[in-house]
Amino acid sequence: MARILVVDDERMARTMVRRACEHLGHQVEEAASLMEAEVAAAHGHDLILLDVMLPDGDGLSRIQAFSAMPGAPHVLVITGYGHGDGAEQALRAGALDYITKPLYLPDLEKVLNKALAWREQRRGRIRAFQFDKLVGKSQALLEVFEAMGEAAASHVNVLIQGETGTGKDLVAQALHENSFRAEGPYVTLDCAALPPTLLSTQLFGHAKGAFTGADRSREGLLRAAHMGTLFLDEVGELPLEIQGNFLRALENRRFRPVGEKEEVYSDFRLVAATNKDIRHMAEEGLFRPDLFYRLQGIRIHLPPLRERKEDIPLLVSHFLTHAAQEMQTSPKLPDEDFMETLLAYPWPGNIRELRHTVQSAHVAAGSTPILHPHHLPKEIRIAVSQSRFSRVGSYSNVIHAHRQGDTSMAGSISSERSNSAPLPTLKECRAEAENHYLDRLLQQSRGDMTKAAKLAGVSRGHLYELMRKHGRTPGKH
Amino acid sequence: MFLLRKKTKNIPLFRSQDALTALNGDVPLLRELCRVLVEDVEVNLNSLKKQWQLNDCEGVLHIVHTMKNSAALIKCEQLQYTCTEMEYKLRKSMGMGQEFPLAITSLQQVEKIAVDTCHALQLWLRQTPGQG
Repeated sequence: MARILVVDDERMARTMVRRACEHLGHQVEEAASLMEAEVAAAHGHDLILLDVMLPDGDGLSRIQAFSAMPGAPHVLVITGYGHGDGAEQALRAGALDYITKPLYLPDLEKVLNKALAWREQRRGRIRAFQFDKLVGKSQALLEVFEAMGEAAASHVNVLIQGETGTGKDLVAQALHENSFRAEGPYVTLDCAALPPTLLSTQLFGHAKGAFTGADRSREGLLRAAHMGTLFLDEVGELPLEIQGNFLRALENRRFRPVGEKEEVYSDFRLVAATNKDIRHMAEEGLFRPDLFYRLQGIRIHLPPLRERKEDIPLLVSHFLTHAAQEMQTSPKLPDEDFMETLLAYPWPGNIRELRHTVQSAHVAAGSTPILHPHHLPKEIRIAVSQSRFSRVGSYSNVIHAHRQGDTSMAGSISSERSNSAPLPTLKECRAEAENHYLDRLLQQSRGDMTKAAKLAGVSRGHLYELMRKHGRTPGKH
Repeated sequence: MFLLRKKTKNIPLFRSQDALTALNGDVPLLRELCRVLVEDVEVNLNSLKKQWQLNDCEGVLHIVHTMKNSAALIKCEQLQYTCTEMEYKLRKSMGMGQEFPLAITSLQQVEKIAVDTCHALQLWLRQTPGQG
């Protein structure tokens, strides 16, 4: 039995959804507004059926917030417009699917069944996947786990993309350990670490006497990965002259070691990783497009830490436990300010940087059981205080912070501002926010008014009116 | 959104068979939805008049949109079409920055059709025995 929340201000629609859910044996809660929905969603649900046009706001703008509520529910959007735009907006905003009004009971039941079956399948994939080194429970990481589950259960090549320090190597290792090849070898090669000539012999191997200094034959990593997994890190650094041979080896599982006459067979599974945009490299002629297409059987995108900050407390706790075990000391606890500083930092080096930071704070704290911000490296404290100062002074940032749900930032800015400068009128504040919004909107739409209206979710007429109000002329952007 | 050119008098007030098809033949559910619509129409019409007097275009639009969806759910087509047309006009005029586009006759028309629809639903409720 699933738990379903229906958010619709139309009592008839709620009644119908309730009947459909009860008919399918599920438990239903109802909410007639976004505010009621936020309270109800805290109880934890599997699915949320969300109307778009609600009395206290636009349902689409809350999809991400609802998806992050207890139970990590999936959101199905009920749109009353029934045209492509509404559906596209819903899916772009992260909805699993959409239903158009008027509702038909048979269709509604089908959509509910499909969504719940998909959710169960997804849960199964995540449950089946075991790897305790990947820590976190954010929606972004759950999506990674799901893709990993899918990849581990198949034989296709995998391309892991993510910024440096996001844990691409850990994901590759987890894929191997959870795949059918777990009993086979796990062979890794960092393509950025070796010069092209050495890389070629490392990959393909060579015969004795194939070149000066080749006093004995070498098997090569492709051969060593037979019946196992080959992990190519920094695959974007693979030299173009090797890419052709590697593509052939990837397609046929056959290759010829340097100086050998006979081809060698190796049944390896490739997992590649990169922090570069290989598609763009392929377009620029820096990477073979055919190899790029072969690499990305399944693509896994690892989100940067700044996009999954809700995982930071868990990661910190994990690293502190490890640090205490390694140093054979008692575990330390972070205080609130310590955690706030970590949450405010953008972590350009991602999890790797966080791990080193926590370890160094653990050392800096000595015998003190509680970690305070002054135990953190100076550079991090400086960066956080600078970013706080730079954010003060722009009301549009305050509004942005509110929209992003960053109430701490908005609150701190508001309070600092209120102490240091006279408060502007609401009209001034609104005008500045509208101006700032128009800047971004026209920049993103490149002056295309139809596109801009679509992005803003208003009619073109409304947009023209707003532009006139702020003395702007269409087309001059 | 589309602008209707049909004359509403040619459109049925309530297509009970189509409504039942849309509800998988669930008569008790249709009876419940009919009762809800009759109850809600009174509330919605009162709110509509208030918003109208306040010249609150957004408010009027929201109520009309709600009535349209409710009517569409159980195939009260005349009410659905009237509300659809009114919603279209409101959205169009709001997009053009006009203040308030509709004459009082539009409100009276919605009111009349809503009342007629309720009568049709009540008649159907009386003629169709409830189950359980």
